[in-house]
Amino acid sequence: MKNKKINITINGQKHESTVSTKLLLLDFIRENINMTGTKWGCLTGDCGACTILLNGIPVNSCIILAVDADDSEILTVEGLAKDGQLSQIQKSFIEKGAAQCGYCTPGFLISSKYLLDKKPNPTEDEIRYQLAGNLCRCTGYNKIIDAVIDASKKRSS
Amino acid sequence: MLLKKGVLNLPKYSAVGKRLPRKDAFNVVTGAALYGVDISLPGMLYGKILFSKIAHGRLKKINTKKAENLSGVRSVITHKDFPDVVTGTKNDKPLFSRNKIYHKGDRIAAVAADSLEIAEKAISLIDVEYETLPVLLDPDDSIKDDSPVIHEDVNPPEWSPIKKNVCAFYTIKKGNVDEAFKKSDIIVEDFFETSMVHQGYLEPHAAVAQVNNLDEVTVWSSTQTPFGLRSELSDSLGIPLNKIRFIHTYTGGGFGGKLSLTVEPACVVLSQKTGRAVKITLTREEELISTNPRVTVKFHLKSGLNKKGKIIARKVKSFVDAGAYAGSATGVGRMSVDLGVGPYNIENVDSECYVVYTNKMSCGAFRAPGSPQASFASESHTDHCAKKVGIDPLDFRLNNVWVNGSYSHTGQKLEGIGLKDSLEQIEKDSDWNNISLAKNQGKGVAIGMWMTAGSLEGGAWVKMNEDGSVSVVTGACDSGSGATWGGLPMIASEELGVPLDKISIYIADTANTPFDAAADGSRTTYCTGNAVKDAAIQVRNKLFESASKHLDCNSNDLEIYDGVIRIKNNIDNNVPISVLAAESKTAGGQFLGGASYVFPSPEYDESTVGGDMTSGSFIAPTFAVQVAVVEVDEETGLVKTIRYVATQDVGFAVNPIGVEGQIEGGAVQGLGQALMEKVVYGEEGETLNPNLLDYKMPTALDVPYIESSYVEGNFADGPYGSKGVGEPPIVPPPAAVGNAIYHATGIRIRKLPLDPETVSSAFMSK
Repeated sequence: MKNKKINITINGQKHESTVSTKLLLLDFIRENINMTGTKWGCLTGDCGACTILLNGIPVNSCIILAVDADDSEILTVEGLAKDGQLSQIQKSFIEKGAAQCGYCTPGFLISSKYLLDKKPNPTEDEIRYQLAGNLCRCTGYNKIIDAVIDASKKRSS
Repeated sequence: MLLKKGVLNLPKYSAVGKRLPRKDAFNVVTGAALYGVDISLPGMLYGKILFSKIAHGRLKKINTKKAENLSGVRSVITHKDFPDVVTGTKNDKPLFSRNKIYHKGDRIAAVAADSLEIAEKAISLIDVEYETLPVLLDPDDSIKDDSPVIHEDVNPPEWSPIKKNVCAFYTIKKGNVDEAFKKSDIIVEDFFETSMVHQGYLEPHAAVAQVNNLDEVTVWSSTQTPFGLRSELSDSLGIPLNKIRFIHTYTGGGFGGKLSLTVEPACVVLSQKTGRAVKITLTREEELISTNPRVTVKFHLKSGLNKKGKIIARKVKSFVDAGAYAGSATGVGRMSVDLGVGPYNIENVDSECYVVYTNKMSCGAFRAPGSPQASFASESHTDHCAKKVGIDPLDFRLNNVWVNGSYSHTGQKLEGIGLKDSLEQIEKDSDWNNISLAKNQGKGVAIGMWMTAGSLEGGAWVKMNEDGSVSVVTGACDSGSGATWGGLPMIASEELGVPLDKISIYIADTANTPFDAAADGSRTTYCTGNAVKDAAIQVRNKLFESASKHLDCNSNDLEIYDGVIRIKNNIDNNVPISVLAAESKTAGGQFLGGASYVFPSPEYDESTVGGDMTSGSFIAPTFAVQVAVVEVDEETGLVKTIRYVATQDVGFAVNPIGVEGQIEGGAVQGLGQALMEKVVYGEEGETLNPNLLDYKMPTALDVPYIESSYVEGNFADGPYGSKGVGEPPIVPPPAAVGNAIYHATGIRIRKLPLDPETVSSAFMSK
């Protein structure tokens, strides 16, 4: 087993560590950095519970090696609130009841943030398309879509 | 887009019925909520389970030497480390395989190691010798005379006409169907078959166990029933209940799949052996080979109708594929025999159901266990009946359904049911008579019936803190619905006049909360909600007693409003709750309430039921009615849901956001079962699609925006007239979609899922 030194910035904080070349980025975030908001769902890139922004792009962190994320900037769910203030998409998820069991929620929040940054006023179809990589087994997606629309209105107002 | 209707003018409430946030929401959206997979303790070891390589046979020899010698392995366990006990509804399930192997999900051994990687390596070093037996994958094969007996120690029910591999048998009979068929103008016959589907909770089973030097066991578990698991573990390992503490972590969905022990016994025994905390998380693959999904049921149906469109007689014969153990299949059998007939006034009924062992995953309690299967059969068949008699399917149902005062097939008098109201509501919501349809498009309606598991106890304490804030303490847990995190604090707020932000809720730790059965059976608001309401009323009464001394008046003259107790006709004469709460510490004692609720089952006519039926009635029956509009691609067989409309009989919506969430989420989970989901088995009893790419669940692109509503006013005994909400909405989609496909194409598809493969082959054999 080989080890390699990596530098990864997570939610603005630099983390320098030496890790196994086999370590998944998801496990690096959850086990090494102890940030468990990013969820462990399928380990095959099918459910989206582990979605993070890697250099601004949403990816499934369960199918990326930690060493391949060397020198990158990562945003996880823990980085959405600033100075104890929830971001608008988090507020909208609460207000609209978009989280039930909440296990998929971190991934949905990250995918939604990416969408709203790229496209501040998305249509329902555009939201469905962007969120199609995230599975939710509880809500039937209605209230998640309601929340993204609500956040888009409040962010632009 | 929400279409909501109140049938009656409901009383004005201050908290319940409002759109208020859940108590867990902040932790969930910030990633702070700790789920089972997130729990980590100092010195924790990682566990891994070895599952059987064969689906049916005998265990000859296990050699764990090589695994034990691997560096970093701390313990290897097999059946020798467990008491020789069997569990389950028919006492047919060993914790770890001892002699017979019943399916590929059977547990052979488990290891605890310093890392998951070492544990995985150790598992691969365990040598197991098996003797194989023929694998049975279909109840039709299991009941054949020349098939092997799967459970040699389980006696088939003596009253069952079929014995081979049958573990339970149920009947409902009334009137005389054969005579009635002779008198019928029209006879309709059908066969339908459902598929095995998995709950698909996003968080896999995960638990951490720590056993201390006093042999006290603490388990953190992603579960729907901490008290249920405590009891099952106690029975399995012979540890008294007071020495076992189950702590419910945040739970990433359950849908009935997290109601029995899975990883916990191995965690506990490995912790006993090592003295260290042990964690086991199932992989998605292990979930899809070893857990407890919804099983296949096959239905043969025959109905006799008169020309006016009344159902005179219905005969149903069903076969439940239990899988390796009776598990929840006995419940599915009990539901199939009853709900397979459908929620209609029919004078002559003859229904029987056989529950049959095979070598597949054992049946679990997936959301409304048994009802989606029964609804697919009876509601597709009923649609066929409507077509044969030439009446619109919605009108046909309105003519035949149970109304208040009707009697169920087992003679239970039905009261407070909103089935007819719900049918009328869906007619309006969907604009049924004017739905515009293009070529290859069709509409379908279906009813789903369920009830409320009021016979399972719910308990809660309510205590007022010395600053006037309130703590609700309950053994109820929450696997996502929000009945606990959302609804229960609203009930306390309503009864105490204390705003929601001054109420906290502490849940589901068997050491320090009152007993509560489970987050199942659509029961939390119904049972635990009543317990919270009663406990809060006890606190309120004590507050009034204390306030009456302050205000020099009778308790009966007082009311509570926004944190203040005041005299009804003299509201300026008042005292804040916080003053009374502070005083209580030095005089009179704290304001504390506690209650538990359990409901008796309604009466029924015992002469109608037979076989293994031990109960023939339903507490607070509920109904979901849904309409699908679909487009069918005749070339590829792809069915697209263009519109989906769902309504439900809820009594009263304590937590409207939660109620809508259940209806919308249930409809989509049901659409998955209708259109895409199926656990596929190979000839050797192996799951062929044990991952979420091949076991496909609906994404946001696969479903339309669900048009949801609910019907209030047909009250039950839940708080404020509420009844169970969580399970009914998953029931109608398979039949609603199947009926819409028929309407679009004239082809009746008899097997789930209604995926391109099934639909296109039905077209080819047209």
